[in-house]
Amino acid sequence: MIKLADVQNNYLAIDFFLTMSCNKDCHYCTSYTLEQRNLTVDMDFLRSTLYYLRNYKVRCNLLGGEPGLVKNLDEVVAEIKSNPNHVCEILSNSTVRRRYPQVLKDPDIIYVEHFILDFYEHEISLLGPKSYDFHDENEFNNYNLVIKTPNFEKYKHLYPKEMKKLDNKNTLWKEFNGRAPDFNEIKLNVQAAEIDRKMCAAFPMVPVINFENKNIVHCSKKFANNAITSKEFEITQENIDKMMNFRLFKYENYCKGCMEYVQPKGHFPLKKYASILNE
Amino acid sequence: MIELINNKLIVVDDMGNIAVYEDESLATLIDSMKLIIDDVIIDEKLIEPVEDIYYYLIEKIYIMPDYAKWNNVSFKDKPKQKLLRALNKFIHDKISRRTK
Repeated sequence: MIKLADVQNNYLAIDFFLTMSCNKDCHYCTSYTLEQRNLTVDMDFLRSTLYYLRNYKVRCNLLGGEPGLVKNLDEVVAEIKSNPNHVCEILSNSTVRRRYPQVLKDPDIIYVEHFILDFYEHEISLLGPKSYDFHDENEFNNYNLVIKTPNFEKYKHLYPKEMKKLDNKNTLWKEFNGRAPDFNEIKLNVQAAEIDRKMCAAFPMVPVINFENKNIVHCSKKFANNAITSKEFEITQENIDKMMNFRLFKYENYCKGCMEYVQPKGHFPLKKYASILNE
Repeated sequence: MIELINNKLIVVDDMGNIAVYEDESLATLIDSMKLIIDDVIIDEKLIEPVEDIYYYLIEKIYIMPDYAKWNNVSFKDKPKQKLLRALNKFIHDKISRRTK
């Protein structure tokens, strides 16, 4: 069984945007369209991409859009799992739980669910069919994802039961990003130190493999925000090798003005750089 | 010429005048780098271009010395050499900028 801490420390994460389609329109999300398109992953494209990545320890984050809408998700997951260097992670709004329940029983898949990131969604769940409950503590690598949005900070005291339920090792807490105009608990309108933005630019939190345009996209934040077009690259062995060794991405103009949250400790510990540069 | 003698940065100008650079931040950087590359040699001849990531790592350790202490990190010889080159460039740039 894979261990999340091991994956976080030893693997580079890459977002696989399988489709941009989603069946929800969460207020905090910009990375989706309600148009249902590209719901079948091109397996030849996936295979060739994974082949280029075959020698690298990669955490393949399947997302979009909503990966649960992908018709051949089982096939995609099996292909990723066929290489021991690759770990499959799925970020879903719970559609995967409904359509592919077997994913939750497989401890070798990191399954992260964000159907309630923000108590705003609680109101939505009252309107529509009831969502699933939070994940309890478990050994199956099933996680709740809570992004500490302004709404979360504002309303969490009203939901003591939920907060207690979330208080277990299977809840991942994330800082909100810079899309909020102002929020005083984390200073979102302050840029991260330039050196941290430079290091982030060299290998962002998560670069993207875009399955719609079939290319590499530099930065998932810019990609998801749709605000500024992030730099794009062809998927070739050469580009993948450069990317995985910090030689593809540069500190771009949009990085200079970037207001996204970057951890002050830097998003990579030094030992992670060492493990890659030692290759 | 810049040299590291007895853990002090020494600058020797064209006339042979020797000046000691008392710079706590640079001294801390060198100490931190010793944790990573063991044998720190300061010599302008070592300055050669390396990938940006090495300059970033040096700058990060300069700004946040604890960064090097969080884990036991062992770089292999090749990245160590590149870090040493980047370190030399960083120190050279800092000192020559100040001298000007």
